[in-house]
Order: sequence, then C-alpha cells, then structure tokens
Amino acid sequence: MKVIICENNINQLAYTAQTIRNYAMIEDNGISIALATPDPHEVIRFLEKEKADCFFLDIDLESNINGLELADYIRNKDTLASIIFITTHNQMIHLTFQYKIAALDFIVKDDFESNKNHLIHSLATAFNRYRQLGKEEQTLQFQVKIGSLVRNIPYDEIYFFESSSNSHKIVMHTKKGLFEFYGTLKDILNLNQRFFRCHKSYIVNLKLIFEINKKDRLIIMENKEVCPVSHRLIQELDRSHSLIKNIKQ
Amino acid sequence: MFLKSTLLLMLYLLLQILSVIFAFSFLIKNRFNIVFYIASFFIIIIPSITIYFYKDWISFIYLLISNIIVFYFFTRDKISILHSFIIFILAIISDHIISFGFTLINLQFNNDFTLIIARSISFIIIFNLFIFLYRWFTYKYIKINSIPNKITLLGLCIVFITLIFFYINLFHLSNRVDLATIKFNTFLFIFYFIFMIILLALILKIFFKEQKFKEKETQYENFLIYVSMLEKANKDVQKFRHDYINILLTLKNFIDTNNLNDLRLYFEESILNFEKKTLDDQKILNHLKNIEVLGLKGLITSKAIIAQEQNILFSLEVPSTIQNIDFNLINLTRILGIFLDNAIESAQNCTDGSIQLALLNLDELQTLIIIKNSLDNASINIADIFNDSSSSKGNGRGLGLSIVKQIIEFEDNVILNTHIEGCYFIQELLIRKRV
Repeated sequence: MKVIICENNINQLAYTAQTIRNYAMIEDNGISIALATPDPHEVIRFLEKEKADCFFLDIDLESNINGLELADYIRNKDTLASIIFITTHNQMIHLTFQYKIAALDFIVKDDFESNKNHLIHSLATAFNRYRQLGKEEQTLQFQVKIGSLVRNIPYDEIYFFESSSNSHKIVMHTKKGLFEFYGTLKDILNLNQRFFRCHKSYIVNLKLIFEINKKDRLIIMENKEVCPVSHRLIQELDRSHSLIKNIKQ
Repeated sequence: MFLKSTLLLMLYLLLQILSVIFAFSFLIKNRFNIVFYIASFFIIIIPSITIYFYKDWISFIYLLISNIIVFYFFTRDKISILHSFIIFILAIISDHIISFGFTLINLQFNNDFTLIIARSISFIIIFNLFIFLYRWFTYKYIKINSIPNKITLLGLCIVFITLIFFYINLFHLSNRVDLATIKFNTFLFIFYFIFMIILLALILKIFFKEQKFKEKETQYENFLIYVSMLEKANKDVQKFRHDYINILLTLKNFIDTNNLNDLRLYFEESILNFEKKTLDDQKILNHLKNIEVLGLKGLITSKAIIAQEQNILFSLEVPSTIQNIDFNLINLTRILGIFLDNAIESAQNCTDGSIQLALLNLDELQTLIIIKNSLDNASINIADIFNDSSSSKGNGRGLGLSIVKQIIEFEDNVILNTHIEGCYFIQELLIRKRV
C-alpha cells in the first residue's frame, strides 16, 4: 500500500514518515511511503502519473492551496483512497471532513505521544480498507450517497420506499431515519425478493411487516407506519408475505 | 325533430360539463383515478342533465355545488373551491362569447346538428384557451400555497359574488335571446370579470409587498446582530492581545530565573489551554465570512448566540465561500430557522449539549447543509416528527417540521435526510442547482 504525506512542518513531516516506516518494517506488510513533501503541488504532479492509496495531509500548508483543497482534488480523482488529516486543535471541522472529503480520520497535532498511537491506528485502518477493496460485496445492503459520504444500510433496517408525487425522488424509511434520493421504484424491485411493490408509490419490506389489514387495504409496519395497498395487489401481497416468512435470506 | 334537438342540446351540455371536469383535473396537476371519474359521472353529470330539462336554473346551481363537493372531496384542498368557481365563470364567458360571435358573424346552419358541432368545437377551443391562461397566470405569479387563508377567503368572496351576479343576469333578468341582449350580456360579463381580476391582482400585489417588507425588516435586524457580534469580537481581540503579553512576560520571568520545571508546567497549563479557549466567536465569525448570502449570515448569527446563551456548544463550518444557493431565500431561512430552533431545544436538555452546523459546496452545482445536534430523547420516531399533531415538546415544536415538509414537497431540487446516529440527531439538506 502506498502512502503519501504532505505536511509543511519539516520536523513533523520527518516524524510522521519515520513512524510509518517503523510500523511497516515491524509488520512487514508492504506499506511504503511513495512521497513525503511539504509542497502540495508536488503531490498533484505525482498523482498525474502515479497512484497512491493512503494520504496524510495537514490543513495549513502555507501554499496557495490548503490541505482541504488538496484532499478535494484527491477525492475527485480517487473515490476510494483513504485520507487522514493532521490538524491543530482549532481547525477541527468534523462535518467537512466527513461529508465533503469522506476522510477516514483526523489526528490532532497537539500531543506527540498520543499522536503516534493514533497515527498507527489510522494507518492500520487504512490498510485494512485497502485489502478489503477487491473483496467487498454489497450484499444485503442498500447504498445511498450524499456528497462523498457513502452509506450502506442493511436491508433489515429498511421498512419501505415511498415515491414522491411530483418529482423523481424516493424516500426510504429505515430504523435510523428517513433518507431521500433520486430514482424510480422500478430500480429497487429487483434488489431482493423481500421488497414488494404493494402500491403505485410504495415498495415494502415484507420481513418487517407487523400486520396486514385486508379490509382497509393497509399494511402496518413494525415502526407503526402505515402503507396503502392497491386493491388488485392485496392477494399477491398476502401470498408473498407468507412465503417470505419461511425464507432465511 | 323535437327529440333530436333535445338530444343534441343534451350532448352539448354533456360536452360542457365534461370540459369543466377535465379542466379541473388539469389545473390540479394530479391524475385522478377511475373512482373520481365514476363519481363525477353519477354525482355531477347525470343529475345535472336530467334536472336541466325540468328547471334549467336549478340544474345550474346543482352543477356548481356538486362540482365543488366532488372536487373538494377528492383533493381536500380549499383551493379546489376557488378553482371550481373560476372554471365555472370561464365556462359561462366562453359560452357567451360563442353565442355572441356566431350571431355577429351571422353564421347560419343548415340544421341543428352542424350548429351543435360548430358550437362544441368553438367552446372547446375558447374554454381551454381560458383554462391554459388561468393556469399560466396562477403558476407564474402566485405560489398558491404561500398565500394565507385571509386572502384566499377574500378572493373566494369576490368570485362568489361575481357568480351570483352572472346567475341573476342569466336566468332572471331577461329571457330574450336577441343579439342586443347577448351582446350586452357578454360585454357585461367580460367587463365585470376583468374588474374582478384587477381587484384581486391589486390585493395580492399589496400583500406581497407587505410580506417582502417584513422579511427585509427581519433580515436587517439579524444583520445588526451580526454587526454587534463583530464589535464584541473586536473588543475580545484587544483583551486577548493584552492577556497574551502578560503570559509572555511570565514566561520571560521563568526563563530569566532558569526555572525550567515551572516553565514547562506553566507552558502546558496556560498556553495550550489558552489556545483551546480561543474565542468561540472568532471561530464562528471566521466561517461566517465565507457565507456571501446575507440573509443566512444574520440568521445563523442570531441562532448561534441563542445557543451559546443556553450553554450549548455551537460550531460552524463553512470551508469555502457560498455565493448563492438555488433556493428561495425566504423559504431557506425559514427552514434553517426551524431546524436550528429544534436543535437548540433538544441540545439544551443534554449535559454537554452541542450543535454542529456546516454549509459545504460539494461542487459548483450542489450545496450541502448539515445540522448535527445532541439528542435528548433517543427513542423518538422519525416519521412522527413530521406530522402536525405529534409533539413531544408542547406547542409549536411539532409544527415546525411539518411546515418544512410542505415547503420542500414542491421543490424537486432538494433532498432531505433525517436520521439518528448514536446520540446525535442529524439532518442533511442537499440543494442542487436547477438545470
């Protein structure tokens, strides 16, 4: 796994590089430092020809682009790279790190000792991600993206999907909350057999149904929310619901 | 012969009633299901036509009332009543224009059949033209859902009076069918209708002006708060500089007396802590200056101050400049205001409550606003909080989010995520530039 460090304090730069090299030597896991520089432009030049997997960036680079902009550039080029920020305490912009850059972690510069442990910890996490990249299968999870942040929501947590009447938006009702995204209900039907289209605007998760009221043509989900059923689908709903109860997946 | 002309007349009536019903579903933009059309057929069409042959004026009243009832029943929206009245008036005017037009051009027909066909086609053309104009007018100049009930009520009264006026004229004042009467009636109707429209337009214009004025006032007040925050921050900077000099002098003292231990202690205690305590205001102001949308600046400032007064940790992140957001500014400040009010209410009940607010430019086309606050009640049901009736915090609390839902429902370039992560409540608002 190739690592790039960009930090304008030369001492800090050397210290970080040394820590990483030591760790790589001890673990003997093929982690190498591809580039360590105080100049962000050098990083950009490097990335034009080659690739790296893990980045440690300082925010204040005393150059005409700061660490955040550099991270944005890296993220646009590579959506899967691990980006870790090294920052002084009062530059903590958590939400920006999370949503705009999808940063893996951020390390506070103030304290050298705990710095080292945190550094190694985030390096190990990045390495694990790097190894998982080929193998990751999005089984039984629904992916929604917002900004650079990717969320994987297990099917077990999705109650139902609802399409909005006047735009191509779908609202997903889950145990954790409501998520919206652009799309059509047709795309969702084929994902898994537990998803059943019970109405023009609704797809329910058969496994999370609490009760079916056939008389009023309503489905009550486990979170007490109610979904309507079109009258011609009520029988099929009943059938599919009984079937799914016996299936593990 | 008699039967044939009655049949034709009935067909013509049927056509007009059908046009009215279709015009309504066209105006509402929704597609009604088959039940609506079946209901219309049995409740509106059949009785109206049958009654017409007994007493035409009763049929007229019945048609109007049944229209209003059926339309309101299927949409549950008061605006249907207004639409029903207007459609009716437009149908009457169209009919009169045709009668007048035909007699003016002195159109003669060989038999009743061609006459009815000609009238039908003309009616469809002219009536639908009016309906298109009406829809264009209302969608372009009036966002109907943002007009308060008082004005809609006033509009309804005026339209209702107009209709009564037409009605009396049509059926009671004169039963002659000569050119002069028709001509007089047509012009009278058109004149009165235009007068009514102008009156309504004026009322609306004045109303909107007043709204804008009130919003400008609030924006101005918020901006003044921002300015006072700047002034306070300025004062703090002076104090800061003063304290800093004191600290340096103390350090110098330790160095002069070669007191390394105390120096180390003092440095760790004072300096690092000092940096951490860096004026929260300074931090917020630093990020605030990246927001170039003035209305937002003022709003965020006032809410930040309120939060800090409640001992809530407030952090603002605006890493790059936000120059404009493709969303109605008044609605945006309203939505953000509601979100922040809710966040403050929730966080103040937590120990070490905090609110994090971020405005991020994802790329040139998207702006992402995130509000993350400490949650006091971990078991709230997310779907419930958007409903009018539910409120875990007394009055006014639940109402806010239902207003947000109303505003967002009509915009197709906005995405709202609402969820809980651990002990935090997070709302993400993604606004895309409309193409």
